[in-house]
Amino acid sequence: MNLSGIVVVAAPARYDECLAAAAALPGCEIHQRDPVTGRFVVVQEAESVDAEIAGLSRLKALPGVTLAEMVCHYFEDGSGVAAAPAA
Amino acid sequence: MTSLSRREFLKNSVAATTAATVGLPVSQAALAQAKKAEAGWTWDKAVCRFCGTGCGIQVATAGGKIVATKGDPDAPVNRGLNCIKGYFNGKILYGADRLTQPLMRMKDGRFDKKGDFTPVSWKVAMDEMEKQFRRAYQEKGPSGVSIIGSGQYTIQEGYVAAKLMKAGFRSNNIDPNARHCMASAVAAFMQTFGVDEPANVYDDIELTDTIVLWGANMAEAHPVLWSRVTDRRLAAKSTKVVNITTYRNMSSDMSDLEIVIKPSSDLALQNWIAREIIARGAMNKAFVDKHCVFATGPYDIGYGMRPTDKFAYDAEKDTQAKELVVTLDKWEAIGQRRKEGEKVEQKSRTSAGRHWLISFEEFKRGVEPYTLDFVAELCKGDPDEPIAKFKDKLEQLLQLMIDPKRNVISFWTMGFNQHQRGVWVNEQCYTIHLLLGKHATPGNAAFSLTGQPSACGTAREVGTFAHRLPADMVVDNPKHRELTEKTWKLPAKTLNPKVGSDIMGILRDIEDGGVKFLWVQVTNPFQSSPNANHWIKAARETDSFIVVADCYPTLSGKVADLVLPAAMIFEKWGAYGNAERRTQMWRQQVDPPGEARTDVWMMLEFAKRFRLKEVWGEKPLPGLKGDGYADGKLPDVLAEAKAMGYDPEATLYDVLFARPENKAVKWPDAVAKGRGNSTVKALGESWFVEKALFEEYAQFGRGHHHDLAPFDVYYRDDVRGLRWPVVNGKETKYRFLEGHDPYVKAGAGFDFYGPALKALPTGDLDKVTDPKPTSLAGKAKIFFRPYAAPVEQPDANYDLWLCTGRILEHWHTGSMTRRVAELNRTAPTAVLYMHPADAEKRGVKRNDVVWIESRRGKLKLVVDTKGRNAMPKGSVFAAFFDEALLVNKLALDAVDPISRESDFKKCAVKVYKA
Repeated sequence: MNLSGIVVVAAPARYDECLAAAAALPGCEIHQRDPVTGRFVVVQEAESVDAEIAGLSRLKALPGVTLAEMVCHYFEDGSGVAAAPAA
Repeated sequence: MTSLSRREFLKNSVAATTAATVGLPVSQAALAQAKKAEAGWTWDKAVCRFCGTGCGIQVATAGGKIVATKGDPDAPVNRGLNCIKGYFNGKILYGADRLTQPLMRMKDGRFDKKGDFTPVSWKVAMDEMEKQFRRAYQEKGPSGVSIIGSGQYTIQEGYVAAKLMKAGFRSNNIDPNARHCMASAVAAFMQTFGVDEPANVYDDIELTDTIVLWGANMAEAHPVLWSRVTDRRLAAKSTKVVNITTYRNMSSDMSDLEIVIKPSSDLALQNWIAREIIARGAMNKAFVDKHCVFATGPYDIGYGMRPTDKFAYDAEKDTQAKELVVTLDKWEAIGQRRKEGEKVEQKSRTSAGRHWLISFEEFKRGVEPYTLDFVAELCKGDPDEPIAKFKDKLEQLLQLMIDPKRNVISFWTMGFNQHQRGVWVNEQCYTIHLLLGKHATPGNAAFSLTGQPSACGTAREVGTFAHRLPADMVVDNPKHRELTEKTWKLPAKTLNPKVGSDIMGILRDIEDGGVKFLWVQVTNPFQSSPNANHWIKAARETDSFIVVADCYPTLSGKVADLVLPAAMIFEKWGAYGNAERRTQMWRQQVDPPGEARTDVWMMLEFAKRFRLKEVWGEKPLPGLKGDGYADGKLPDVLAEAKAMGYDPEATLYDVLFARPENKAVKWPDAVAKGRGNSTVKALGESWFVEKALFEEYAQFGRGHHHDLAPFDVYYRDDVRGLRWPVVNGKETKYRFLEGHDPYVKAGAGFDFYGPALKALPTGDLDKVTDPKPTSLAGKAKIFFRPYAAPVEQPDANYDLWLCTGRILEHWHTGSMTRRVAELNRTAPTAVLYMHPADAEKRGVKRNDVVWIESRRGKLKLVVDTKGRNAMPKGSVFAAFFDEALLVNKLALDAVDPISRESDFKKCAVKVYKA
């Protein structure tokens, strides 16, 4: 199980729009909100590290999002990363 | 608890932890729940192992594994934030293809250069390594063996490697991949200030008004610092960000002004700024008069290529010939006050760093040709941009820098450093800031960033370069050798006075048979070095023996004869130093997998296999002359060693490392809080290797401007690294500035106290006129350096510029970050960014496969005309992370003749449909 806590910063004028768009992304739940500073926390659950990175990329690409970075990450089962593709 | 409720429980906990980490409001109940979810976990502070920013992280372990990581809210560098690379710190230990046992090329049960990789025991691996090292050492002496190390070395790893090579084997052939990264920055620090490393700190971002990026795509390469820059820009509306670049990149998105220039024209642009500072009366005369002098050096310094075409491919020979004679183009001629078409013999190619004092009037005469008209025409990088608009942008840049009410920071990394005149372009940035008096004060800085986590802390401070000793000392200075021999308790004249081969030198030495043994540690030089076809072939086809210690299979591993499985960051104790002089340490968190071992253990075990009588007798050293040495020979020091109480039968392990004073530093130690030490365990010893060696090393800097705190201090719960010099327990924010730097006396204001290169002859712009040295103690140098054209430029055949670099998702050669499949889907293979019109001209479009070919090699890439990098017409860009698409086969191995750093940023290529 890969769980990550992502802090998102949205342009103040587009805060609600970003919040709704983030909540609609697969595996993403909105938790703490702080409209004053334009920030909110997304908790993302994903099958693999790979899917998790893709999710972060989707968040970063949302219109109005000025920053989205993974701050915290649990990988309780110790699942690692996949082997590099053969050259 | 069911798995579902466990999941919900953990999610709430992740949310609370995330919020608390970045300072968002969070309830006590939520925090209490987070604490409960983490029951049985042990959190510890640590540092990110990726770039040179030096972000603090927190690592949680349970059951002998890392189970969670998070940004460290108490870390002043990143304040809880992490970028995508930071996230891999925990995951990266558990890749499916981790190397867990030594692999050697074997045939019929024994080593064979043409054999296949076969798992062997550590004993078999080290027996062969010892045999091959001895073969090279006996045949060639100290110059026949080498180590290529890294800015990813921990401080202790770099220290062991440098001491083993320089004091033990008496070889200076040790050089880090940091040579490819910031050697130009180092040389410019030494030439300008007489001492290495930045005066300023990251705190300045929040204190400045103008931030200028000089060829540094911070949004991709330093995202956490970039978030501080963009926060500052949003919080203080008057703050402006300028992106000076050769193509539009992600940093342009948050910039107020984007200036696209031609490759290498930065030199001319800087001279125009210097000219205008003087012409418009913006020079801070009081500061300059009191604290600076003016200087220049020779222009005919070559390009750091081989002086012979013996090893060149036919296609390379025209570029190579310019190493000896250059025909000046129009721009160079004007900028150097000469005639176009003049043929200039490169007479100063082996003394490129020589320089002398000039008068302010001479400096003014030097910058005079750099008028706005001249510079705008030379520098404008986008052929589609109107010249008037470009000139207007230059004027805006100038105003943002010279306005006396504005604080200014210049940031740079590879755009300056990987440059055939990298030292000059670094120096000229100081020239601008010093002329303005905007340096080394809160909010004002010419600030060189680094790419690797301990490029500063290890490569530079420890001195794992071919010319360096610890604490800014150098091997070709007799006083520095004497001091080092004293600290290391070596007989006089043990140390080798001749600068060794730098990284390109070592690779060339393997090609021409000068070096027969190479040990690669914590890096991937066969992928990361330019003109790679030469070195890969040399490694496989000469009678060299290549050892690669790494945690994953890399291209260098595939090229090697022996691969050693290395422990990774949290499987060992270590320390890094970042780009703002911050030294940070971590504890070992988990054990290495399988037979993987720490690099320190490997080197100490290797040291046990050699005795003093083998290394401290007379040794051949071709090219050594003068300085009190017999021609071509290092002296026998065994008699003095005996007099000092050393037994010729003693091993290098005993004499250099397991010394009585080091063995007195016992393991276990309270600072470990019960954690393990894989080095000590594998050695079967009871001394705390990393602590003892750190303290031994720290002696070099204390009292010499580089003071580090005691080892245990860095492990205190309330410490998140300390910026040296740390004097009387207090770190230093601003070097050279009274009231901040303990080495600056009261009343001085500033003291540029660096001792190196501080007595100079005097001359004019072209030559020395009075050889008598003048002391310039306490002063910084304002250099005049002319525009110089790149040695290889687009022509009728190779008609495009190629620039190479790094992208956000991949760090360096991608040997760690590339293991994640999704990252590879985001950036699937190295793509070739090009302008749509250039693509159309060649009958190709986005996602087509093309051949890209230089004088040195060719490969296929996928075209991208509208990705994150928007190229101007005439230029293409490719990242160098992809092992299967080795972009460095194309790159030119010209280096800055002063710093010996390679130029990955400009060579000529052609592109055609595959």
